[in-house]
Amino acid sequence: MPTRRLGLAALTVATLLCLTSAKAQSPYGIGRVATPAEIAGWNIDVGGDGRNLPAGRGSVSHGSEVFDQQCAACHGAKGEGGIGDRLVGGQGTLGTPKPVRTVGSYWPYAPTLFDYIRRAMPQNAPQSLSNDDVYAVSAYILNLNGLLPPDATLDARSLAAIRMPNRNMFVGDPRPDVKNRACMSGC
Amino acid sequence: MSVDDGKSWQAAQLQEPVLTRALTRFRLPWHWDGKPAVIQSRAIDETGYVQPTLSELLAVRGANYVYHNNAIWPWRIAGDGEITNANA
Repeated sequence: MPTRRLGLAALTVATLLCLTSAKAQSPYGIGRVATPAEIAGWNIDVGGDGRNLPAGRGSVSHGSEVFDQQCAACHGAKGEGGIGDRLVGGQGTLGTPKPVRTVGSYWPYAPTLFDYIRRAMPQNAPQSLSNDDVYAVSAYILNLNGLLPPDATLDARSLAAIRMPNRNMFVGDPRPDVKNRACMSGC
Repeated sequence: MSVDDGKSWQAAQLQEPVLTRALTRFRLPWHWDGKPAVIQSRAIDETGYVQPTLSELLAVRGANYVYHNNAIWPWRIAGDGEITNANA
């Protein structure tokens, strides 16, 4: 970076320090308390039980349109996978030598789907979908997995009410589960 | 460390800093006689937990246990000096 720009940056920081020093919020004399609106913008995590799901709703049929436009290029026309993860199928394969882990076969909580899509998808423009579109595309992916009828519409309550097939198949972490011996000779 | 395909082991020297849950440098001077060999390291933490072998892990967890593979990893040294993954 050119020295001149560094100098400008330093000057800007110095100016900001002067401007804010009058009502400093921290022992360092910089920064300010985040506004409720800013916190709301960041506080988008959704619990497995549906806690913090926003208002809004979306249908399987609208989700199909959103999926075609925003998701199919990577995840395949019907969620069968491509350069992006497979999203559909695989139920009953987790206990086999070739498990297929998808939303339908693996994920324990449906509201996580909303959180993940809203937060991270589509990968080229994350957080560009409206909440209604995220509900809709979540509904479509659940429909492709046989977990929602084609005429269904999802909102916060109905999404949280869905029981995922793999919900009760997770186990506690048993580690340490191996007991190697520190053998030194004649091993 | 073992330099004889796991038949015998000897303590390596740890280099400071030695911290819990952190990578630690270690060394063991070894004169290679030019014959094929398998070398490997095995860590023991401050609780006495001994790094497991791959076969132990596979026996307990199966081959679909995707994460937490902390098995000892042996390396094969051929007579011409080529080094390859001894578990491959």
